[in-house]
Amino acid sequence: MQSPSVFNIVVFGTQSEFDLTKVLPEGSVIQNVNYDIDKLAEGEVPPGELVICFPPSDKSISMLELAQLLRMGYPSSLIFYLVLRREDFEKKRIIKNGFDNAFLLPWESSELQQSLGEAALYSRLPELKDYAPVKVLDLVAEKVLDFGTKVYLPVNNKLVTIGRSGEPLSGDKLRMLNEGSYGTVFVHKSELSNFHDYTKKVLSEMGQIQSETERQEKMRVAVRELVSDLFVDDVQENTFGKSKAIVEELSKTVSAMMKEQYPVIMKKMESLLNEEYSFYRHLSNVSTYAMIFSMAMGLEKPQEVAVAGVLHDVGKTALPLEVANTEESQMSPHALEAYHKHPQLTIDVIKMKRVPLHERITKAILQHHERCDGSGYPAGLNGSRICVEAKILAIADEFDYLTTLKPGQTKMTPKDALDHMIKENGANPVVMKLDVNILVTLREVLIEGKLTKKEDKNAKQSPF
Amino acid sequence: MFAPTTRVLIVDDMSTMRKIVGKTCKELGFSDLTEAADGTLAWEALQNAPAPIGLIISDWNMPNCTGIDLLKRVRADSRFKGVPFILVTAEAEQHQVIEAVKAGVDQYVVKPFTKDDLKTKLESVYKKYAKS
Ligand SMILES: [Fe+2]
Ligand SMILES: [Fe+2]
Repeated sequence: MQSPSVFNIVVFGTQSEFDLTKVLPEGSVIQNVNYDIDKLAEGEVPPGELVICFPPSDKSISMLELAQLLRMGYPSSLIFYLVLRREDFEKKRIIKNGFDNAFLLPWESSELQQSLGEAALYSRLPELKDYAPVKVLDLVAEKVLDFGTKVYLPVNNKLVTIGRSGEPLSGDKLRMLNEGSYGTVFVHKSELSNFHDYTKKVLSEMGQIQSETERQEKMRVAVRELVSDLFVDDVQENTFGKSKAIVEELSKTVSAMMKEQYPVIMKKMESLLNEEYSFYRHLSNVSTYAMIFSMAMGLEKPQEVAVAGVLHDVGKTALPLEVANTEESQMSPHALEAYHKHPQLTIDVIKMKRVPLHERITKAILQHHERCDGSGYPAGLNGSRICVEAKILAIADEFDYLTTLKPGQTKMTPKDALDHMIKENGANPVVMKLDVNILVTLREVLIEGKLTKKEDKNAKQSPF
Repeated sequence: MFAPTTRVLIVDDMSTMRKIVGKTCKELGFSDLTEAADGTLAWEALQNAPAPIGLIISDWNMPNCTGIDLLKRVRADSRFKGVPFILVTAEAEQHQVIEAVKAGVDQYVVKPFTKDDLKTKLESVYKKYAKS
């Protein structure tokens, strides 16, 4: 089958540490170009719908000059700046200098992949610019909609109408959309305000504050902003106040979920499972799960555990590239030793940024890889010495791993994931890694609905 | 447009930027270009030019004498105060724009700009001077 059209990407500069081909959209053709300042200044550049550039080895050219040179050659193309070194990554400065977007690799590779995919899509089907993506999850079945909905069919490169304005969407149709790869539908921008009014109405009928799309989007933006803020070394940017504000914003968005009943929460949890792995998504998922699990365990201030969840792995970005680029199972003993420092690195990064965090949060982060049988790291603590928040974080971490889409593997449902963890850890208390008492309680509360939230408050503490 | 014979003074501390602005000017029909690497050198070029400078395109951020300093100096001098002046800035900060307008700038261009951006600004400056 012939692809509808070719998407030309011009790549300036070379590097060997990141395999760009892994994230390229289908049907794209890349052309590698060396930085030649004179040629650039003369405007002698190969044509491309999108431009990717790595930092030039010639440091005499400033980022502003580079942006200017590229913008002259590509007045209307997107220009992305890719960085593999944390020290080179000052996102706001890069964007201020005129680049359309900047990505820190490998951490933001799935965000890069998404942005490249979107750019290819929009270039292939220009009319898409008049539409906005909307999560199927926000649509209610059998309700008359005053806006039309369309899906994108890659095979014929077309937007196809699935629901007209003034008609309801059937439950079957919605289910099909949710189960297929169409988690998103498109609404014409002229009808977008109708969509917003609709979600507001539906939400107020359901007694909710914000839609799932809004919540997920807010989380994603907040996590990304928080993480990229941690890279800014400029004291002037005053990370203290800003990080605190982001953490507070996060607390608010996750707390909004607390007001809901478990079946609603579980439904939302399932919606998170449809996505592929991304570093930021992992952070925000673990945060959400840690909060839900803390609630189910009747812990006080579950949003503090959520904050620990959102931060737990950010120290990984301080790891050397060769460690960051390797799967944990493939690491050499030396790399593994470095990798095991990431909980402490997270604490270091936070401290360096003077983010004010409660000791309960830092402790949970530091201990999130400790295991009940003492086989964990960094301290090899025993179950009795690991705090309950860290145990919950460890379960949330594993839960996200089991329920996330991985290439060539089937993902588990929440119930299967909990059952799997109970089976793995319940057989022999001597080699129990995750706290099985917590797991069993979670299964009772979340899957079987045995305890209500109120009763949870009096729930027994885990003996470990 | 301006007459092709208009002598243009391009001021920027980065040689690549001078090259880019110069190339765009040529493409827009100007052939008589003079370059200077900062405000002080630009001031010298203004006095020593064999024929009068008819247009100044200057960067804002430069060592020694900045673009806004140069602008103020030009506007305060009876010999040059009528020369069209375009400032090129890295970012359009509100207070910067106000300061530039107060000092008598004709247009400002924000980096990174395209050829069309610069062309549009040049045309608007031309229209302004054609009227008066
Ligand atoms: Fe971790
Ligand atoms: Fe993790």
